[in-house]
Amino acid sequence: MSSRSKLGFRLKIVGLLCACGAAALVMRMYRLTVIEGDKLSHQARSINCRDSVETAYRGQILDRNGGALATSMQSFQVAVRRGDYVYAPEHATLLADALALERSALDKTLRSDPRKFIWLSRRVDTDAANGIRRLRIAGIDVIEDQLRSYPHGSLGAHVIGFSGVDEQGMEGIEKALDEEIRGEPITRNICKDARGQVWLDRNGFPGMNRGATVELTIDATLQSLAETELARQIEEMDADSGSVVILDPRTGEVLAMANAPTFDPNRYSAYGPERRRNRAVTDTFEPGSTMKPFVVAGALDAGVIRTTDRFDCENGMMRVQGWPIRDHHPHKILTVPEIIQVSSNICSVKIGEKLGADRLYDYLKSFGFARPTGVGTPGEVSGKLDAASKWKEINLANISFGHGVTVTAIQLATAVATLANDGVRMLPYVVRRVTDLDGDVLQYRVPESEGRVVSSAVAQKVRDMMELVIGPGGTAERAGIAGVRVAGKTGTAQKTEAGGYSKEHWLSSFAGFLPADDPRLVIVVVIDEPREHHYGGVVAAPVFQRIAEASLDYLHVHRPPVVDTDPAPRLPLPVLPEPGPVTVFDGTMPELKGLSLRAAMRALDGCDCAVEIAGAGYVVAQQPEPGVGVSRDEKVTFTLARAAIE
Amino acid sequence: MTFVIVDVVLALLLVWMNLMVQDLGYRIEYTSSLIDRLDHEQTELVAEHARLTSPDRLRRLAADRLGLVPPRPGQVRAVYVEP
Repeated sequence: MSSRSKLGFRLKIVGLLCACGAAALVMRMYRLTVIEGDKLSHQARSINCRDSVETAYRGQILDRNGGALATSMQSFQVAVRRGDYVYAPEHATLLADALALERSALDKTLRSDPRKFIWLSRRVDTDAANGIRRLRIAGIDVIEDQLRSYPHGSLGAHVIGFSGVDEQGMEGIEKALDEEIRGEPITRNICKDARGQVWLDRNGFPGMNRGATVELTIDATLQSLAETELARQIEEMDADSGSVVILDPRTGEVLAMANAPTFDPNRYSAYGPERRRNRAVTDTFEPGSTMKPFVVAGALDAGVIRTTDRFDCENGMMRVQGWPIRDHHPHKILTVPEIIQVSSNICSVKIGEKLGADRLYDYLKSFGFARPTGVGTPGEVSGKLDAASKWKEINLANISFGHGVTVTAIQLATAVATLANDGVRMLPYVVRRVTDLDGDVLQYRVPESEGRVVSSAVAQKVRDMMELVIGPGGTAERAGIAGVRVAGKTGTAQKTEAGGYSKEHWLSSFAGFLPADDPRLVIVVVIDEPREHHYGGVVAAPVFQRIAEASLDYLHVHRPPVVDTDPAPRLPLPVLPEPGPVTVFDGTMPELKGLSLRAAMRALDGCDCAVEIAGAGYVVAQQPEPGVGVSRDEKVTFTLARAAIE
Repeated sequence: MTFVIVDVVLALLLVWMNLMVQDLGYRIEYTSSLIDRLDHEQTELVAEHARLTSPDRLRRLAADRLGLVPPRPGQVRAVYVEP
């Protein structure tokens, strides 16, 4: 055999051995991964895989415009497990930096605290938690947690409520919809490799596991407005507490529910239960004169009186079963609208007597008194209205002007909304929609009518009477808004105390709606124990007026401009070129071409017309043409262009 | 011989597939963690946005920093702009 042949033979042997080795290796891998793959995988999993129960983050609570009112965020806690921890002096420095704690105190804890498990910090953000994990100190645990946050602070606190340390809803919507908001825990089967890296997450899904999202009917802007004005009046009148409810009478949606005093749900434990109570649904009061429109509405609907009927108001004093009934001001003969306008107790009693106990009771129940409204917040009470069969003559008399019956602010708002909504009672609600993590709708509330309480014609008549209350000679001139028809009724009730009615403690209220000819908002204001004044028209009506005024602007409800005779100081504005003098509107369309939008609008001050604008810059075309008469509500169109400047 | 080669190729294919499954597991887990982290970040940003745009805060800033006051009656005019 030649040397070349020998070499070839040896190469073949080596090649064969390599092939055999490779084949053996492949066979071995095949055996490990395919033949015994399942068994070995199972064994490995039992060692490296474990079930991990993951609680859901609480779902978000949003206002009607999608703004977050409550949300849960990732947070961490850091603790020491004494059994696994070995003290080293540098640990205190490292941990104190990461946790922003005082080094010497931390060092003492790490070195000598004998407890087996010690919390170092209960609220640690993600960056700090990651920093501590990177330190890899045995026995120092970083535990994932969640932090419930109410970004608006006290805004809507009584409606939203709060959740406790164990993420359980304690008050408000947090409590009422706790099950949905809390969500379901999931079990994850997590497998880690030899380096501790997760390589398989069975049953896992990407993203946070979160409870349902709750969308409220509350409008954060109106809520803020109501809270601000209520707090201001409570302070100015040196009152104990108060509530404001704003409803949309067409749907029953609660747009705002404010209470004072209030609390910050981020620090709920710092406040007592009296500040955390949602008084609008939990506190009852004798409504006083705000009850009269419902008595009159019932009597008109039952046909026992007509608006033109005249009643003798006994010159301010009469007795029922020996008990005196008085008016604040003496009156003789009044028509039904005048009775509402001046708020005569005596004549209301006479109307109540004409209606009779049974029918008055039925009407009051139909308006929603003495039963929960089901608005959706916990703790709602019914109020008190004894069965008509228990009434004596004096009870009927008292109830006719709002005494001997108790109501909540939400009940009163819903009842007024019934009159504003042409006599049809809409059920009030605060939760519009609940959606789960996948976006599937769990609950969706649509406006729901409970039915007609009084005829549309009767509701219209009572609305007209309530409009008189705001006008000259009425009890609530301070609730008026220039250019807008407003209707309402004041209430001034003496509070009960042992042995009868107090002469010092009052409850002032105002319940109204606007615009009176097409009601968009019902606003009820209740002020408890004001000390500066006590008449509803002085204490509660101004709150209504201020909220209503700003709400109209916010909701863009059209109203005629008001001539500003006493302009507020303004910040200096840049001077714009304004060709031609600005004229005063005299009922005919002025020449607007060449004017800026600002100047054109000013030239139309006093014109009760709807303006449509196209383009930007200066007026280049207008409709109607200059000199043409412009009638009320007529549409005026401007076309603007920047070319006019040149 | 052909049978042996086919067997070897199939065995290699199976082994490769198993390795790929494991690698995919790591990648899915990484992506899942990323989504999780972004979800948390988004939640924090939503809360921050809500805090910064809170009507109470804006009213306070408008009054304190800019000296703005609520509009007087009639100062707000609703206008309709053609789209």
